[in-house]
Amino acid sequence: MALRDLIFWIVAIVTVGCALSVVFNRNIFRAALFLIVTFFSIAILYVLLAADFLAAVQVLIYVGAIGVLIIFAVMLTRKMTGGPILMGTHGVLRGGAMAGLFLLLSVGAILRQDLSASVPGDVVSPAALGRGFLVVYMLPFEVLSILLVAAMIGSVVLARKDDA
Amino acid sequence: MIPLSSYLLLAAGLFCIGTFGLLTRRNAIGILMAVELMANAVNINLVSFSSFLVDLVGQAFALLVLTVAAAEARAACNRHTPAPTSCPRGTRHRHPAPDSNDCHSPAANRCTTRW
Repeated sequence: MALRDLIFWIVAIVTVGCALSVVFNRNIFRAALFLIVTFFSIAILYVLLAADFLAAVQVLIYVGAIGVLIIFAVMLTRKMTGGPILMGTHGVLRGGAMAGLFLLLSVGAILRQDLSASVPGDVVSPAALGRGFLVVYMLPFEVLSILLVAAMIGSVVLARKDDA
Repeated sequence: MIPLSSYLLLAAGLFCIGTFGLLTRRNAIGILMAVELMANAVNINLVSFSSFLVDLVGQAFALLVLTVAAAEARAACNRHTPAPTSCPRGTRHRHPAPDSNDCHSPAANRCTTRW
């Protein structure tokens, strides 16, 4: 039990620290690498929450696909401009005020509830999740398929737009 | 044992960091990364409630969010890849020859479609 607590706190600190680096780092490439570390630590959180399938999907999709895609875009941009891309921030005071206000609101709402008595449930098996997607959540599943096809066709159209 | 409120507080912090990045970043890729952080925070919330209430719905919805985020990143990165500035829209030199910097030259096979 103590080991799980220790892992949770280490992962939480790593997650928040890397997320802050994603937001504050001026070098976009380093920000993308920190984003990948954040995705990894969130996958560890899913394992702690007994969602093994979602942890695997998180590593596959977020780390494997989205992270690589962002790094790919950064490197393509870098090739065209030459040299590292530095990106600044603007309106730090305004953005910080908004985010801090929202943080205060949500932390107050969470601490007001009595959520300390709960314990994690059993591991949800991928078989149950797949059965759910083919029986109960059939419609969202099909809508997702349509969304993915639309994204694929859309990216082809966007890439070829200038030829038409 | 870690209480549910710890996960929720972590997700709230992550979401606010994402909000801050969304509001302050100038670069399109930076904004995209902040949006991914926010989507991840929402996913942590969904999965923790699903795990604590022993209900499948949260995980199913988290998978939905994940797919939408993947499609969004695909489209955003596609839009962001910049067009060259010296050539007309849609063409660029694959091997710029020193003798002809003219993008309108009839050697059209040197120009490739923009990705």
